[in-house]
Amino acid sequence: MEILKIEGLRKSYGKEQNAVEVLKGIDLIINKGEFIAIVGPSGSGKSTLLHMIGGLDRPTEGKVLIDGEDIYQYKEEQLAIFRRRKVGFIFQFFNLLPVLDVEENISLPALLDNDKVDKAYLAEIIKFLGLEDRKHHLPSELSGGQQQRVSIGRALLNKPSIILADEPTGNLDSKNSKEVIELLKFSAKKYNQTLILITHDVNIASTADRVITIMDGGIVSDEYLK
Amino acid sequence: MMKSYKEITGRYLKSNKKRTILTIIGIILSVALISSIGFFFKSMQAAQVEDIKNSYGSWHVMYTKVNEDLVTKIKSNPNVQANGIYSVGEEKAFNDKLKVKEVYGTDEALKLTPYKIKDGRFPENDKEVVMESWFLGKVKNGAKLGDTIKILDKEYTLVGVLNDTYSNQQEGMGELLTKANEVVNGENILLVQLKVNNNMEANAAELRKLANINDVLENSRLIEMEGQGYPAEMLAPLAVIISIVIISTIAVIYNAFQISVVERVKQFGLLRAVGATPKQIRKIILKEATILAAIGVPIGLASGVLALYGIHYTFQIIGPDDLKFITPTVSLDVVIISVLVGLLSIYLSALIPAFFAGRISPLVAISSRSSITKEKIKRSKVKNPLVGKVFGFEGVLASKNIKRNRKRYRTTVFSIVISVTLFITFKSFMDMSLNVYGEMNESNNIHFSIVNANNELFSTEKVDQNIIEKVNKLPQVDVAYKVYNPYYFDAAINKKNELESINNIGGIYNNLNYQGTEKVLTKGAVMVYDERSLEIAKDYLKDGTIDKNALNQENGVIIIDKNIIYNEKTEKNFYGAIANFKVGDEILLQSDETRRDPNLKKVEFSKGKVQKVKVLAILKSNPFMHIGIEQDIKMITTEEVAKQLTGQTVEPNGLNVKIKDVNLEEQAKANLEKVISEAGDLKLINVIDQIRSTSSVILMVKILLYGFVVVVSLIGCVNIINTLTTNIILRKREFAALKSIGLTQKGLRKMIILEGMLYGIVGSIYGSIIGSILSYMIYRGVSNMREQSFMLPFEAIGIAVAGAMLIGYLSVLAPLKRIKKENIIEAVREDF
Repeated sequence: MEILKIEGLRKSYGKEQNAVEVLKGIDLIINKGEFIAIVGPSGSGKSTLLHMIGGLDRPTEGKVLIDGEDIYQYKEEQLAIFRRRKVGFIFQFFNLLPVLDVEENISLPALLDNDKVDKAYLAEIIKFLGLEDRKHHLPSELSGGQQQRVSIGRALLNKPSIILADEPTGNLDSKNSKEVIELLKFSAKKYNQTLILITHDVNIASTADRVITIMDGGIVSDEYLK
Repeated sequence: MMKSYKEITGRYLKSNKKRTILTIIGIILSVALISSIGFFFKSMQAAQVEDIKNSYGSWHVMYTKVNEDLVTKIKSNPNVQANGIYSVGEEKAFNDKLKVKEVYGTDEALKLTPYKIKDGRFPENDKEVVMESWFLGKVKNGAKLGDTIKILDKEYTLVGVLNDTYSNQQEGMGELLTKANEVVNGENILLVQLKVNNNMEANAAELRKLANINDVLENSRLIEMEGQGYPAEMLAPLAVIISIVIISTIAVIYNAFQISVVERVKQFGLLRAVGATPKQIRKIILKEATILAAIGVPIGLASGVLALYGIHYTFQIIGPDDLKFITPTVSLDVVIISVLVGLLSIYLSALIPAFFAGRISPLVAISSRSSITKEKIKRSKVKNPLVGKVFGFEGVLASKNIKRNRKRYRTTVFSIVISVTLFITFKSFMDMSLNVYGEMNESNNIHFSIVNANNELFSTEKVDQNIIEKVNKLPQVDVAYKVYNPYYFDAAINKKNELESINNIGGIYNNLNYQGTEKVLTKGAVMVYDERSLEIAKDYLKDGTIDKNALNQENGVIIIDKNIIYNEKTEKNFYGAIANFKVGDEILLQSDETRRDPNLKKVEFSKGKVQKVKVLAILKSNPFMHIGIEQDIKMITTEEVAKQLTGQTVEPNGLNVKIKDVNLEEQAKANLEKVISEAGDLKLINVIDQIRSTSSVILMVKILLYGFVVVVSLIGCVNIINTLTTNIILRKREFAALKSIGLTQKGLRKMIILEGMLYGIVGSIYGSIIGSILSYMIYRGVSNMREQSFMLPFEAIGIAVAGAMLIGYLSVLAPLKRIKKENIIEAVREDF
């Protein structure tokens, strides 16, 4: 079942002579529950594509349809709510709020929704991530791997249909990297989520269902591994 | 566990205690400054209103011819608060020394008069009476309230005692105040008190029209003070000061918020990325504002009240009992206005950064690229090789750094400009105000004066040398300065000494052709100082040297470079020098005896004996009080030179005595009395009380104004510290990068300190310019009351520039320490 459709997506930065076209017309369809790895050299436009899918930046041209709806029709307010409910982000540099502890950082998306946090589900996530004895620690008191697990927890909390991960292991050692990827795959399966992941790591890419290679702002290959 | 995302606010405030405290201090100081200025103003106003009421009464309009028609009109006028007629009865002899008269008042007339009840109350019927306590002592010694008192065949019940007045005691006049239902005979006077509001002036004018212009009086000072609350001529300086305070309050608080938002741009970006709407971000910041306001505003207000009472009690301790400088008044208006200004500036300051924070792109959070690459860096076109030579590579980096981001540069410089402007403006306002109150001089330290008993102005009687020695030998006496009469001259000065501002006043300078040279003729007074007075004069020296022998040998004089000249055209006083003298200038003098004795015939200049004196020193102000010579060139010289100039014997005709300890007042007085009793024609005057009251007024004004300058400087410091620390904290990653490529901690320190100081210099240059302009505006405002030549506030500028650089230096030290501790790798990676 199709969850995401990208049509003629273009993005350029700067103006006139200084304009740099980062995405040069991308068309893509992604189905529900797929695990997709996006690979490509630095500066090829992978991250920009991911940002466009997640509603973080507006395209210069083209559409991003999620569940059949063009997300860039939304106003800023609606777009934020879309991010909060439909998408879970995981970043290379974890990006946790330094003033909140583990439990609070994970609960953030629900709190932003003025929702009561589903305690049982929160406990489940924390247990799943193996952070039970760390839940009242501040990010500064955690290792890199632990911090990344917190950010995964945050991405999972609102049960989003798409998880977007931008080099989630880029800042981790190999043992932690492996664990994080396992967790992501496991949760995607468990909660029936679509996982789109940018990576430089061939090993990680090889575990995906589908690998999309981007170069110079365009898709150069799109292969199904499974 | 948090219940709402808004709790992030509290977390941030708690985890950034230093920043939070700094912001709250900024709010407290600003609110305290606004409220205390308001409180002091209201309190001084209240004290003045009280003072006017004490001396003239609390009536606003007085009719000296009363008829029934007028009374009816007054009683039915809606603007009238109280009214009453009073009438003074016939004067009768009480005994062979004292006289007595009755004063009747209807309605509330007695309360509107200046009579002050010391004990008891005003009479309520014609059987009741109140009188001054000295007179009561003569009528019936030991009488108590409620006693029946018989005065000249009439019996009264005593219901109150009045404060004694000087004039009634001197006249021997006993006044009996009593209430009448109707005033029948005598001179009737109708007193009217208006309702206190902003229209009092118009309402009073309305009432004045009810009677013939000659039969109506107005308590105009009271109407002015109660109505608009300030003398009209104070409006301009007041408006300047208040607008500066409000603008800087907003600027300081705005800065603090701007900073706390900028510091967290990444965090807000992150919140945006996980789905926070711009509205939610704004809510977080506005909540922060609310928390800070809830803490800062009440404390600020409380500090204002505390400052008011603190100063009030200090004044009570240092001031004499009868002198009332302020009546502490915590006016609701001021509370409301300060809270409003505080809240308004807090929310305004929060809203603008909140708006921008809401618009922060979530992308900022995602990459660590944000702060360096996103800022618009300006390439500086002008290269200054001097900076590199003087400060080295770090200096070049520093000067490039401060200008590379226009927005940050502006924000930082703006905050320093505000601080410097505030300081300079207040300091020069203070200096101008102190000028009005005069300066402390040695006359303020005098405790007793010995003068000739005959009280003649130009007494020629001498104080015997023998007496002088005896006075000096008394153990309680510190020093006895000899007092001489001043000598008056016509003075011819050179054209180059002429001052344009004095020339414009007119009447001071006259043109003179003396032996073929164009000169300026004016008046001069020569004061004679003994050796000890000359010694004191050295503390007031502006230029030249003071040496008795040199004065004697060169026919020398010392000029006091400060005069107060009344300008008849503008009806204001001009404060400043009468002429532009330099050490070495010569003045031609010819004695003018007509000023001592108006009956003598005036001798034209050059027709008498013209002598030349030479300026050997210039003083900035009077070492001793000199009265009656403000429109003269004030010259000080020795006995010998004065003798030479006047051709008369010059001897002291009085002594000013300074005792070692004011507590020895009684012994000193007894001993001095004893010494002068031998001379017979001398009189001892105790000036301790009088001196105490004038010195304490000056002291009080100084405390008040210095207090404001201190608060203003503190606000300025908080502001500068806030901006500069943020500047550094935001660039931690950049500094780490510099260190990683081999800049030493020492080099980094040098660079950052130079940056801080460069900001200080640039900010204080602009601040000095704006501060001087504002000072000039205040000067223009003040000059509605009096004239003085405008001087650029160099001293204030100097302090401000040095201060800004010092704060620039000091405020980068703490964040530098923080950077030093940090791991380079960590800092390069993360930037918050």
